[in-house]
Amino acid sequence: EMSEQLARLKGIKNGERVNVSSPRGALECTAIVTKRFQPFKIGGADIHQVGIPWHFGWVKPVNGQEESANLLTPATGDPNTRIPETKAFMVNVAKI
Amino acid sequence: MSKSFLVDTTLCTACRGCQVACKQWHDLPAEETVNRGSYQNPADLSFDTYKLVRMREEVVDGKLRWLFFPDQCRHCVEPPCQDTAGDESAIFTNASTGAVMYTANTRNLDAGEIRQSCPYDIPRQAKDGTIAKCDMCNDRVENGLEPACVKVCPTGAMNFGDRDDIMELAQKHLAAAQKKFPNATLLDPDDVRTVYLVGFDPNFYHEYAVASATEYGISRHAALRKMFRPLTGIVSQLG
Repeated sequence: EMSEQLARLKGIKNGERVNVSSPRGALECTAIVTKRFQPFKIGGADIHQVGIPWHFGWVKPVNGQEESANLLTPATGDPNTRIPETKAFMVNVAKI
Repeated sequence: MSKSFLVDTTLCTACRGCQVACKQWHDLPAEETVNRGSYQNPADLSFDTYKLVRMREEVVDGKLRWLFFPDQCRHCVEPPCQDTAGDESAIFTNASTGAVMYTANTRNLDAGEIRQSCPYDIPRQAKDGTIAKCDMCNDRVENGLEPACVKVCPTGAMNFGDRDDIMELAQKHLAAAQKKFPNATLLDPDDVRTVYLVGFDPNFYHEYAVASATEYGISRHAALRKMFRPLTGIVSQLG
């Protein structure tokens, strides 16, 4: 999911396929462009947030075409509990 | 006393339990779907999908609202589809529950004409022309159970019962909804057995959420029924 503002910046339309990538990996998915995401300002700069569910692919649908968000996540964790820090990180989003 | 639904959309969270329960009870196949850029899936009702949670993101009075509308057959008190068909072996109303039922004989009807006659755009056809839609889980209701969608709803958005009780419940829900949503209304409550309560203008939810003011495609049968409407109105109010 992404904001309409980010979609406009990247030339992405609702329902279009996009590439999402991080230093660890990349995947292809479908963009949901929505008003429910809004950019926010940190230190005067516009920061854009995108959301991606983990369980949108790999085993279901049975065509096995969709991928796992874990391709992007950092393999870092809390040193005591080893709970993975998978939830928030930088990605690039690009029109295919 | 016939039965009725109250669908309070202000309580709906779009969990789609109703959508799934309907499929499960009627043994309907799943439809292959793709991400179309919305969480609403499938895109529309079909011969295999009798219940669909429609989702619309609308800015109302400067505030973004995510509107959910669990669409289904309205089980009209005077069903235009039944009047247009004019064949009780294909489309009839169950005398005790008020459910508008479609049989396999609907394949002998003009499916396009039947769909056009519906103010809510509900009936859907299979390849062989048979038409299907929500049947009020009539088999469950006649055995003292609630329809599947009502049974599974976790928030109390879906309600079902004797028409009198539901009409009373609708007024209670309306009063409560109007505290948060001053423009809340009930949609066509006197004409249908599936009464929707919406918090905003019905047009925000779905093109066919409410019957439009203009009549269209009215058949000879329907026109005849309209001539006798004062009488049938009195009879239908008895239950």
